[in-house]
Amino acid sequence: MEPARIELTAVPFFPQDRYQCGPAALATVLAATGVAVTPDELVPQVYLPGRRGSLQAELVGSARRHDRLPYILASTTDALLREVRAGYPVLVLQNFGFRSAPIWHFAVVVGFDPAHRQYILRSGTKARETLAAGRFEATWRRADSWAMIALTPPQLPADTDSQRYLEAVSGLEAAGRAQPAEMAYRAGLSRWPDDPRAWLGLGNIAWSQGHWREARTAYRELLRHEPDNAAARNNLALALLREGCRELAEEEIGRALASAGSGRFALAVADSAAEIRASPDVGPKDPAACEDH
Amino acid sequence: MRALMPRTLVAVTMVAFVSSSILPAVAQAGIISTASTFGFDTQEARSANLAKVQAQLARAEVQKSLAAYGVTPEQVQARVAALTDREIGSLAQRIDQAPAGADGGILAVIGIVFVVLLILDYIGVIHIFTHRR
Repeated sequence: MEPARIELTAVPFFPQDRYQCGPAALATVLAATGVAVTPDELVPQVYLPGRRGSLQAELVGSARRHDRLPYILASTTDALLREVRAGYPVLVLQNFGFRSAPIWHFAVVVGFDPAHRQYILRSGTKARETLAAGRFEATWRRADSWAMIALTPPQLPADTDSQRYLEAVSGLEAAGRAQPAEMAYRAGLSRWPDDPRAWLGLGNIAWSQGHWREARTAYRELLRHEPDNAAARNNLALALLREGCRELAEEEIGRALASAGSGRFALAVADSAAEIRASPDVGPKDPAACEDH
Repeated sequence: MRALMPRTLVAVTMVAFVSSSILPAVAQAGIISTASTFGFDTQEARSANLAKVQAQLARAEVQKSLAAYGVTPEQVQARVAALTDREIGSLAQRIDQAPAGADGGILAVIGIVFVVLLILDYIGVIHIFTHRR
């Protein structure tokens, strides 16, 4: 059976100025999620005067600065169209030149017409551009089939790859967008209950805000499912130390050292152990905090 | 293993140097970030600390590149801060070749074609432009 025709007609359009398809395409997907933004306002965030263009990574970064979750899709047309069908306009990179002499262009896929085998896009100065499937796919493939959507946490993509999703959220967290990242991790837990990566993220966000108790709860939740997780054990020990529960911190860092072994977190855990040992035992700020262990 | 020794030494020196100069507070350096747990092979010998140092250096490099491409100093900071260590790492390696979606190329091609047609028309090889005499 032929798939149904889809077109996201409500997606806005911003005609691009010279060289500025990056800001225009990004404004399109951001505005579709309700961000009040114009391409001109995005120019200082993504445009590179010296390259007369915008880099993919910077579109990703700018989306984060607007508290959206940039989500890079798997490089297949199935993955692309699945998100369009879920209602997400897809920002794509196209190459209208050759691999050796590329002509890069950002556009936004808003629909697909199976009867005519056409993609429907917001592109350049065209509010509604139709490209034959073969043509679009060729230009897209020559740009390594790069595609991105902007999710508004707690929105989840149609795609169900937990690794891809949680890594995307960790990027939002790393960019310092604690609130949307927290919502996104919680959304992740609703789809993948008990996922350790989501719990680690929630713990680390609580930590970054100085909410030691909350951080501890998240790390403990993770460790209940994955007792040998050195990262969570390390962070739990440090959260305990911040609360003045030095004995417990020493106990936990001992376990973290054992879990870390000679793996990649060995040095980080050793640093934590040294910090815990070197800290003066001033006693807990709130003795009850160390009791519910 | 032998080749690893000097690298480890350099890494340790860099950790000491960077953590005392760039990182805001050594005490806060202990937490293992969520992002750092992605994208690595757990068996990888390279420690997370070394990766952290390399990321700091790469960040400085990318900042320099953005500034060289004409981004204002106050935007450089914010732009780089929005990227993960992994993204910074791959940019640092190939920012010059990284695709920059522009559309400038299409305009350039059209411009060249136009000039060529104009010259051919002028020297009488083709006749596509209306001449007024």
